[in-house]
Amino acid sequence: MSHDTRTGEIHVPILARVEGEGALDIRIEAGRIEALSLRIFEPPGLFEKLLEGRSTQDVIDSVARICGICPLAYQMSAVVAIESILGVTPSPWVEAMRRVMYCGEWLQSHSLHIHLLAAPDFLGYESAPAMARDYPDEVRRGLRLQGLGNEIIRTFGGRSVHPVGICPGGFFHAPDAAAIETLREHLAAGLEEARALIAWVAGLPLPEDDQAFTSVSLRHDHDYPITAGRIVSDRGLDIAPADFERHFREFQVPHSTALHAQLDGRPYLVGPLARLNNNLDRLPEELRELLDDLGIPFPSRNMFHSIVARAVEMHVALAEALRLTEEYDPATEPHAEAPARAGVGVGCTEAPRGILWHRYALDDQARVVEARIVPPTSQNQARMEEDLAASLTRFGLERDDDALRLHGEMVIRNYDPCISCATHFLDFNVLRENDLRK
Amino acid sequence: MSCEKMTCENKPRGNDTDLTGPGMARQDGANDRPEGHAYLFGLGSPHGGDRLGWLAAEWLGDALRERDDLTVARLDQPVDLFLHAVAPGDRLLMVDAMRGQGPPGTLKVFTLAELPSAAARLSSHGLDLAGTLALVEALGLFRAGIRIIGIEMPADAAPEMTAPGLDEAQARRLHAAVLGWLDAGWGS
Repeated sequence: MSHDTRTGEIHVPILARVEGEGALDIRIEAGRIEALSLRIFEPPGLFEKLLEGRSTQDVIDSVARICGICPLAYQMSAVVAIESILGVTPSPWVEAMRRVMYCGEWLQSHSLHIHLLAAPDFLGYESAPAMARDYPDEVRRGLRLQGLGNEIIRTFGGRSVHPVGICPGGFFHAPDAAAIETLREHLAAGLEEARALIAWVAGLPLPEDDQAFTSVSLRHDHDYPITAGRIVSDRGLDIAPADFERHFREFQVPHSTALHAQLDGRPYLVGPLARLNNNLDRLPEELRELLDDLGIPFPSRNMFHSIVARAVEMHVALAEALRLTEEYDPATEPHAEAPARAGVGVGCTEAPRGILWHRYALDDQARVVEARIVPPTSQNQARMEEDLAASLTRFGLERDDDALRLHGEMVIRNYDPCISCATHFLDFNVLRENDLRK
Repeated sequence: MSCEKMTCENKPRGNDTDLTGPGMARQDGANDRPEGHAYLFGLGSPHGGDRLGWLAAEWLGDALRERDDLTVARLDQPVDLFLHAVAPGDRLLMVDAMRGQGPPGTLKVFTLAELPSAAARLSSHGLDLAGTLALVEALGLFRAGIRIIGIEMPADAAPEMTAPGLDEAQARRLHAAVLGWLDAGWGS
């Protein structure tokens, strides 16, 4: 059968190394993908509704529970929105230390994805433990860096899972100088390892798969964007986070319990690759030179370069955490007073997986009247479907089901999706011409 | 007397402060000391029934502070054990809260093979205990022995509840179990 006349459907039942519940269905007719849906059947969290009536501190502590790996991102977007309503301006010390803490989350999330979820795909292993037997040094390095990210979060938040250190106006508690000095020793060792990591991922056999897509991220006046910035795209968008809803539209599709999103009617990409594409000039010169030396061209249209972007951002995170703690002085007052006030405010920060946008309306007791949260994975869902169609077509629809399934899983995993936020099992079904004739 | 009260005058000898020893900078320095070092990690968090692992590590860290062949630390995620300069010839004992294995306070010792595999998943949201131990095994670490001690949580353990403690008898059993493991040496 010639592949250009091939007809059928593909159903992928299992996607490993992502979190949550989803499926991939593809219908192929006459050698072309006629329909493709990334079905998400994870029950909706309904978190926005659960936040109604809660105090601002309850919001900060509750939204951390949305995600096990990026709780801090949820807390940061929430606290930015809340502080804008309450009229609180965090001190420069608070701004700096929140950025350090956020670096910890990038570090642990990116390291886990690179070493345990994505790299086995590119090196042809079915699992991380299988890869670890042949790449023990690389995996141990990754696990150390992940642990170091946890250590940063724990230093400021008391624990690395669902940290509890953040409050409106700042932190409940400032780490003492000795704790930061110990942390800095570990960060310095980690920085050297991160540089080696970039070279390692750049040398992985990544598929060539250039595609056209729109990169959306924050952009800061002078820093690589993490906790603040305007929302920009590589196609000219440049807006304040408050204008998000005028340009971005979330909508329900029949096959997903998670909302899809579009920018001016088109899918778009958020996450490490989009951030790097939009903020190359915000990288330290040393890192730009390293990327040049390694021959990875950024901005990149190859989604599989996301793993390189993650490694680069791990270096950014470590270097930033070191820079911002260089002359650390525990704040005598780690948070500003935050009097109750009514109003509406938004917050947008860069979660490891991309921009995370929150909007809250508070009453005059500063209790939530209405909340809206737009996570990165829902923003990437339409882009993932677009990518799957292009990537599987380029890969070759004539290939057998197992090969298509594996490639489809790799494409999805590459986004590090967070369906609940993220996926653990994905159903993958193919129905071909012969099946249709039965 | 609860285990918590037995240790409250002493600062926990936890990982948070102990990292100055086996920290990042010494990751490749595990060869600096003889192999066969023992690591005891208490897994958990500051609150609720899950706190039992930390409580045990704090108490055991005090009780066994004279042992120079043992490092005791608290971990809030299993994967953080890789921040220590662990080596193939070392031994590992993890202490964690458990459920469904008997009355509250029940101690149970598991080998790697006996550990329930239900939670052995690798996801984008982190590595659980079983997943971490699968990587430990693949990396050839702790070949001198891995054991997991579970401490049964109170039936109503929840994040909001008052943190549970170990009574004196339970603490003694835990101490005896750990001493037995330490003295059994290689392969245990």
